[in-house]
Amino acid sequence: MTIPLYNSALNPIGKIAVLETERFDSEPKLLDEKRLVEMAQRNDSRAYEQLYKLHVGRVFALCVRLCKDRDMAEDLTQEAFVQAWRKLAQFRGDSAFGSWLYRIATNTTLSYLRKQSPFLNSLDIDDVPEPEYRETSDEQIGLETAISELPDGARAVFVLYSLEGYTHDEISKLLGIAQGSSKAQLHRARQLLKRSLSN
Amino acid sequence: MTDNHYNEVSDPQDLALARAIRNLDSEMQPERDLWVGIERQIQDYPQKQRRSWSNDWMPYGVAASLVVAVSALVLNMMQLTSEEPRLVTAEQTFNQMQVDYVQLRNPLVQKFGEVNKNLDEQTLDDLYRNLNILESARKEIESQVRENPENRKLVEMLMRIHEQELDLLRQDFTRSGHFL
Repeated sequence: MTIPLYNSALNPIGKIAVLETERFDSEPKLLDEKRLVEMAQRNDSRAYEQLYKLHVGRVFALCVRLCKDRDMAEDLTQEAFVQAWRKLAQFRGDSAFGSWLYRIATNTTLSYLRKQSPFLNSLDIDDVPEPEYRETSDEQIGLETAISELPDGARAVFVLYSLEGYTHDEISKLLGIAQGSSKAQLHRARQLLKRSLSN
Repeated sequence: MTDNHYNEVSDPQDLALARAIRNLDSEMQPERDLWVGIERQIQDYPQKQRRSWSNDWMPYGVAASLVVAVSALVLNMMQLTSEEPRLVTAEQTFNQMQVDYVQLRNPLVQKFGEVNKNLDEQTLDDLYRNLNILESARKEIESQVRENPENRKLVEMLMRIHEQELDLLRQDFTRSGHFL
């Protein structure tokens, strides 16, 4: 039996924004993302705000899951949108704006995490601890919580691979590890998550 | 980036994990309004107007200036490199002209003496005086042509002197009864 693991709701392509603008028409207009990007590239901060509203939830979720600190995730989300604005002229529309933005958010967050020595140490597969067996299984542990409890390296690989759709090749380059380590970290993350969910 | 989203899942725990991943919220909302801070920061980095006339024109202007500059450089280099060969060519032309002239003149000079040896002494003196005048003029012009081998007027003047001198040497004054 084949079960898709990918949550199609995460797909950012095809989102439509409602933008009220007096410059073109007194009536509110549906402007697609491409148009918003073009307007933002012409220094229209209102259009960029619409893009922010479209994507902030997804970007923030990505940052939270990678760094598991909501306050820091808010700062990283803010930084990702500022970085994206600075690089907006480089965006040519070869990919969806969302995909481009999430890559910037990923790089921004990983750049922050790389400066944290515990995170760097956790990338080494030898340092991944064995899953702890929980005797107290009366409390249902949600996946969100289980993800946040993963070791940093395993969590990063799981989020990037299973939730963000990166390949092991891409992850190995992003994290500076071997593809084998990425696969091992994912396997370990899945084992830990399954055990957590079963408790 | 999409080939890893579908896995074979048969274990109950895998099924549970797959279900949990599917049900995971794709979005989370931050507690504070981040846009205020973003807006404040992006105001310091206005987007460059990519489609303005000046920006559109600028690359072509730079390209045109570059073409002009490179062309001028190439022309100068061509002039520098071709200057010497052009001098050599003019010199070679002049030298060849002199060789041709001497090859024509020397036999005529020998013949001239033989042909006109029977002329009276006064006439011979007048003939040789004129030949000397032409020769002096030829040598003067030759020295100027050596200094300015590209001066076409000097070269043409020298060629006319050569022709006059050769014409004079070709003359059989014993038959014509006159000279010049």
